[in-house]
Amino acid sequence: MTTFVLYNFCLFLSALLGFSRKLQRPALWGAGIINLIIVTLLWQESGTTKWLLKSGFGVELVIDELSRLFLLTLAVVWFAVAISLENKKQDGFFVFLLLLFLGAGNLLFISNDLFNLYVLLELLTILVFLLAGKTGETKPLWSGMKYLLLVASAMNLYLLGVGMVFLAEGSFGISSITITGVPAGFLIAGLLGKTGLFLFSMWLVDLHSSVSSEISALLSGIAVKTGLYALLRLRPALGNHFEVVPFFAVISAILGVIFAFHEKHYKRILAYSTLSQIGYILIAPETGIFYVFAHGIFKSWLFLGADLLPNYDTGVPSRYRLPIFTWSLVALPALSIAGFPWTVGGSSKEMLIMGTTWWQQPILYAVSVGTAAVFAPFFFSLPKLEWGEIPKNFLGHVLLAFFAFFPLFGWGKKAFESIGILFLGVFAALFAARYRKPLPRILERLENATLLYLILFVLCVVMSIYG
Amino acid sequence: MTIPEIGCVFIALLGLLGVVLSRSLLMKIVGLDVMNTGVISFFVVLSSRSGNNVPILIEGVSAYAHPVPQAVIVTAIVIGFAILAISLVYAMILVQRLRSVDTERLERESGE
Repeated sequence: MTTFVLYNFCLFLSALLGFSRKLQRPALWGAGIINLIIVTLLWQESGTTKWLLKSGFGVELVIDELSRLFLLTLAVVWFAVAISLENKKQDGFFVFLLLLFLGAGNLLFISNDLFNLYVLLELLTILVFLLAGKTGETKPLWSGMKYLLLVASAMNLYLLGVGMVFLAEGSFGISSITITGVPAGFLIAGLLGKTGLFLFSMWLVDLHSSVSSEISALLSGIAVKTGLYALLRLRPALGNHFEVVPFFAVISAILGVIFAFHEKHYKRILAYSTLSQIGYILIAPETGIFYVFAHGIFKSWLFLGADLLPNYDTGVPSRYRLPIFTWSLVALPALSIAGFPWTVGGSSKEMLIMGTTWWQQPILYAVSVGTAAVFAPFFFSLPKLEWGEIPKNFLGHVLLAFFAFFPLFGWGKKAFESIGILFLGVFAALFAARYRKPLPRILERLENATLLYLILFVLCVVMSIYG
Repeated sequence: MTIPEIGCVFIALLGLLGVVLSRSLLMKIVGLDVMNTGVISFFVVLSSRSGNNVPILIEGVSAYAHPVPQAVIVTAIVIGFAILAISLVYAMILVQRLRSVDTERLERESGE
């Protein structure tokens, strides 16, 4: 554990290498490969390692199954993004931020301490904000601004909750506290604002659709998972109060699918689908942990594929006739997210649905069918009969493809069920295609998003008093 | 909770209300800072629950302030300052380009 923390401090130091034009590339490759190796080594271990960063009132760190999964997701997604970025011209500051992101993410995913979680979440918020505004166009700047205003308010509420918990329990360590009453509402509302649930975090769609594709991949693949990690980490301490979350998650999962289905802009479809999938994970948080990894893989793969399309408007018919090579790089992750068996998406959906109770199952199946319907146009279409050229960020695609298909060996027990869901989705897409029209974007405007967040925050606090 | 603590939470919520209700981007950022100040003072006030004295051993004094919340909140002050600084930079760029601080107008003119 000590070594891992020290290694991350080395990562922070190596971020300075990003400023040198010559060392940029080796730094990105080196950090990615070393990180992947270290995380794979951690993955081989089992059991829980706990560590208190020095004595009384110290920072609690833990590496258990949850941490390992998030660490692996971060390692894979970050490496894929880093190697697909190398063909584009980068300035030093950007690489510096990217390397800081890796170190901060690694440290976040091993922390087990309310205040440490706050610090690292806020650090990642600032990094995401700076990465988003990097291109300097007006739209990403504005959506970054929205993101910062909403998330910083949410994190301040979280911090108020942390203070109240400290008042009641006298400690920040999550393993030794139980959270009851009003603070639970503050903590949950704060973290849901950061996580990316429909209604709570309406900044997400604009932000993820307006920044460059690689950064979108990083944001959707891992940045929204940071709040999710904190939420899942707090779940044992929250006890009964956590039941508020699946309630909002159901709304998010269903609304996300509906909005994604009606959308025509490729990246906005993916962003709405992210809202829906985060809800999908939080409906069944006990079994949904592995789905976090799956979602990280295929969503960042889909975002990397965005640059291969001639334009983002999926309503234009010419888009459907891509060359075979490009087609497969868009269709394969779409198949995976739709739940094709023997891919990471299909097998993790099985794992998620298997252990759920009676009220969760119909919702989860419905959302699965809906997701398949959203992504049906991408895989249920014919490619143009020519090979096309190999894209420049091909290595990133290969890395993500490897992790998307490694369940080929082993899982995929309920293949018929998964294929059934897939075909139901395709039929639903064919049947409902004529009803597709873009839904209004009223909720995403800053004024409405903040007001909505305020209302939901009050609702969370009231529910935590009575629940 | 004691009255000063409730007051601090109230200030923080007032800041949130400012973020929600104000239509000017700059006032929203100020609201965010007010909120942050409320949170910080909440931590400072709650650490004085056990006493007002500096947590250094002094003869004849038994009521010391709790050092831990004060220590950790320094980080939050720094983060709040960083967020204020970078959000003002972005706001400056946005205002320069779009010539307005009205959020509805910024939303309309920032493009699809």
